[in-house]
Amino acid sequence: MTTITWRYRGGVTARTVAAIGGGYLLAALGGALIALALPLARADAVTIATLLSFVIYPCVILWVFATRSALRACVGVAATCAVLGAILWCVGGMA
Amino acid sequence: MSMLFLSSVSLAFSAFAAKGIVMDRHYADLHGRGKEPAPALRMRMRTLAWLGLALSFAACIAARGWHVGPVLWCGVLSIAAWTVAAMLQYAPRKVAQGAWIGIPSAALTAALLLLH
Amino acid sequence: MKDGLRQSMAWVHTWAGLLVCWLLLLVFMAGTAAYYRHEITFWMKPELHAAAAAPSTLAPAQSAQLAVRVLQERAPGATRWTIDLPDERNPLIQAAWQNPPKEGMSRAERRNALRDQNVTLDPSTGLATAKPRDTRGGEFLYRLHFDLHYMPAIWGRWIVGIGAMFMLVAIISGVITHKRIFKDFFTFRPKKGQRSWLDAHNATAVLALPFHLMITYTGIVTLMFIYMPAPTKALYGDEQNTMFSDVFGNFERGKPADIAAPLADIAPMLQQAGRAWGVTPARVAISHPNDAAARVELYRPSGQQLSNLEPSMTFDGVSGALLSETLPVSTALATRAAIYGMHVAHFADPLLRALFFVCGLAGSAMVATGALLWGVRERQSYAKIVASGGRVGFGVRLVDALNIGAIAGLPIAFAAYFWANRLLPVETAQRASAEASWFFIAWGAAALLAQIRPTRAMWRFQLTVGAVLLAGIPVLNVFTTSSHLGVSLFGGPGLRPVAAFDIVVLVLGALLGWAAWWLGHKAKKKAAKKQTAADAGSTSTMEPV
Repeated sequence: MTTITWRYRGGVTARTVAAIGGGYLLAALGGALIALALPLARADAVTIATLLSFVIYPCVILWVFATRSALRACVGVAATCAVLGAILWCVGGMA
Repeated sequence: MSMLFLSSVSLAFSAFAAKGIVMDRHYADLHGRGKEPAPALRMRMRTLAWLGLALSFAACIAARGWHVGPVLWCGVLSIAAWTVAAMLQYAPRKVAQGAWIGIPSAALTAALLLLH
Repeated sequence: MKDGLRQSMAWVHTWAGLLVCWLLLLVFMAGTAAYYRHEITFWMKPELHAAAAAPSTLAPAQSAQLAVRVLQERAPGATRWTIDLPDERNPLIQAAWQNPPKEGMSRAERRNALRDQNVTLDPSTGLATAKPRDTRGGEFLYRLHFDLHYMPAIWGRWIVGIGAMFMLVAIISGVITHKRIFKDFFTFRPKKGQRSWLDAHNATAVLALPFHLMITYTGIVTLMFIYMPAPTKALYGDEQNTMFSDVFGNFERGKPADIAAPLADIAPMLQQAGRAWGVTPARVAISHPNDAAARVELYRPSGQQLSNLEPSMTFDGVSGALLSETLPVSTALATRAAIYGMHVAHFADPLLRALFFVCGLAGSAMVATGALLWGVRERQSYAKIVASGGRVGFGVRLVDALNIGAIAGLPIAFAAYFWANRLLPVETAQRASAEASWFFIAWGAAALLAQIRPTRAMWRFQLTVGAVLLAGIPVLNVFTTSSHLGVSLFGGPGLRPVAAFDIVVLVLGALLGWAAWWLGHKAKKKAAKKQTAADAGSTSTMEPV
């Protein structure tokens, strides 16, 4: 069992923030992009995108805790959010 | 409708019973510590189990249609699985005996499906 | 790295589960009860039981005409009439109306006014039934499981939504971490301490996994546009209302023409809809009755499709001509409606509904056994300390107390709600909220006592109280109503829900009673074992609970 050091606590906190907060952001950005990308009527696209974002969210949360290190988790989520955000901005979808 | 449901449940029960009695832990409970089922027996039981499950699914579809039928089937599976799990603990011999219900059930279900 | 994955998922499963398990117990128990909210509401209005006992000979069209006649007398100037026709779950006719809002009425005042704007009709006599006592019935439990209580509904929905996300993560991580999910499919080993709790947790969880996964994801989906507004923002910008009417349909009722015109007979409309659908309409809604712009909407009963959408036909209220029908929706929207429909299970006939109920109970048991398992495991690590006279850590004590308060305390709360329904005087002011408050008074007392003394004796005490209160409900019925089990069991199909309610609470009470007995039995056995060990001179060892 891991000893409860401050390093461990820091890692858990970082992963938790990345999972819950970062994961939500990732799911939101991903959902927005899917909605814009789907070649369907608005109502259909927004429905499918929102349904899918709740599949993305738990996957991100689980990945954050499964991946090798807390650093990897944070960098992974942040980088993905940055990329998705950039694409969204280019597509002009960001309010 | 209830006939199809009952046959679906008994088929699922039979299928799970067949699967259960050839699992290492439960086989040992029935036949003595360390005993393992012969590979041929295992294969036969597993095949019958899958057949039973498939027929059970068909019965549920016949009972409630393609939309609600699968939902009903999930409920059937849960009831059957809990029954087998409880019986394997408290009445293991009856599980082996009870598994035989699959055969008349299958015949009845086939008849009901053809008549449907 | 597979073991690393199992380990990390085990950690996630434990914490995702533990942090919200007591909230989830409330949501699961109230939600499971909500499957039968109509039946519960009916049970809680004993004034209606006599009317329901008499079999109705009225055809649906005649029931509807009767309701329209009554509504014409009581609310000719209403903006909207709603008529719920009798079916197997509701043997009586429900008629309700909405008056145009008066100047300066607050939302709360309007909602309170609506509560009085309805009448229940007995199809066998054609008359209004006795006025039932003011109660929220099963609707209280239904709302409780997603709005919570004593807070703005939106807060409750967010709290429950977050809890549901935790649960979703707990389920998936639980499946990943379960090493022997197939080998241990049927494994249940009682009387082996920690392993037995784990087996119980696995059995209730794995053997109803499709249900648990479904109910959690679909629960989130019911309010998904609130929880995840980003895709809507991307496509609709700030026009959220447009999105809602695109996805959910336009509910605009149109304006009245302010020209009086007689309402057409609705019987031919019902017959036309019945012929088209092959089944009688379940509900009639009339907008702007007695006006030239009157509209009659007939709703199809749910049953064949998973979708919660109710197809409808709209007729002109003056000429009786069919104006429109709901069009089939796109696959995406139909999928959303089916997902939503799976959660509320309107399509479920009595058999399927019973299966849902059992799975809901299993879900509650899954959460409870998980929380108990954690307590048992943690207690193990304190075994040596406790054996030498020390105390368990703060975490274990807190979890023990919360477990008692939720697992044993919630059934007491439910029972108190039903007892309050029978015992509170009918003329009590704000009776409906008074009944609801008893739910929380009882729960609060149980939770508080549990915090003060989280011992095994407290477990037995609360389980016994719950058992007595629940099993006592049918007995209470004998003294407070004339539709107790002796009557309802033989009173015909209309009273079946009442009988079923009494039987279910009796069984649940018996289960709790058995649990209380078993705890005492175990304690006696342990004490006897300790005694013989002490007599034999060997040191007593701390056994797993």
